[in-house]
Amino acid sequence: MKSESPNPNIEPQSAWPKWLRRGQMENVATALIAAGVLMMLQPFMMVLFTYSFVTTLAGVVMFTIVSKFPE
Amino acid sequence: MNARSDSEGPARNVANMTPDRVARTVRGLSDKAIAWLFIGPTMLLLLAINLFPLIWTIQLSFTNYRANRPNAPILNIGLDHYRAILTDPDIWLRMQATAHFVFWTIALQTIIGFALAYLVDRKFRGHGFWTTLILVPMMLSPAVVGNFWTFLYQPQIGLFNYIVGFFANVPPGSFKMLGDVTLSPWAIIIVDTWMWTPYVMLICLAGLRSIPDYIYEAAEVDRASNWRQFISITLPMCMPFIMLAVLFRGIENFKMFDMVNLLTSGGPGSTTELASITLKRAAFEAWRTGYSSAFAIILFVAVFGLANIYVKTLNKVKAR
Repeated sequence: MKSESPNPNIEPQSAWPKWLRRGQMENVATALIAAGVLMMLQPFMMVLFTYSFVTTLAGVVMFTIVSKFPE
Repeated sequence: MNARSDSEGPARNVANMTPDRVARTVRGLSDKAIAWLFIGPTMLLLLAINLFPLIWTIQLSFTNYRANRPNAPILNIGLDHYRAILTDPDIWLRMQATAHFVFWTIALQTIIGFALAYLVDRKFRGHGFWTTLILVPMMLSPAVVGNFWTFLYQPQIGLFNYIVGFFANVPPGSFKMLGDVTLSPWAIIIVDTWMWTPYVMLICLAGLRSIPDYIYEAAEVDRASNWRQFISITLPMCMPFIMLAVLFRGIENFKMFDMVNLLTSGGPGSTTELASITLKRAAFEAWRTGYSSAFAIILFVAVFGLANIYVKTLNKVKAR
């Protein structure tokens, strides 16, 4: 039988690791996307432009995955 | 009881009108199956017009396919196109031209748009008329805007050259906005700013109107100056809306094609050749379909990434 919490407003603790929560991971993915786009558009170093696509793609894939994580 | 019979009336009529054969088939389906039946055609259409071209473009980007040589053998060349694009100094220059265009249009549109929203938010006589007038450029087609700004920029008869010449005390024919290497990037920035500042203004206006009056009243009680109220209340509370406008305009201008193609076609030389114009030239002038598909995917990933950030910001604004 499932035991009920005495206060229904308090949610039961999730077993999902804290550092893998959606908010934090989305922020990391957003930073990766922003870095990738900036690398793509910057006028300073060709090597940054070369790796911009991989960085943006990593950010986009990460964002798509972590947006399914629990909050 | 009456309400129940009223609500059942039309439903009962529809049920009676359904042919027996169809009714028998539908009666055996679950609610979920009927829901899928309704959204199925739309889903199929979306998959056909959105997902299929995308998957096909991804597949083409790994080949040497040329649309003008349909009978030539199609070879799988792996990541060669991606490698070629991302190590090409010319493409890097085109991306810098795009960055110059995106940066200045966003900066000008945000500053002018927010200033206009701040003005329009003050209730003055005829503010409705002025708001409508400010919104007109946004409602025009980019093709129309491109054509009439081409006339406005004419060195001999253009109104723009005449006005600048009048104030700067130079002959109107002494400079060519669309034909000069230094001026042409600014010519397209001016047109885009003219057209899309009203859109930024609308978003900022929504932000300004969402700030409750009691916050300003509390600030008045605390004897906060107008400048302090602007810095501590107006600007922070409008920031999510400004971010929304910046992201949306960033995405749109990153893909900008129609207006620039009409105004300069990327010229003079390749001064105003934005990424989308390079893409069009590679796809439909050089007929390098595989190469241009790879370039399109690179741009798509950047835009998709920005769109993700846009949606995240939008959700934050909605939560407020």
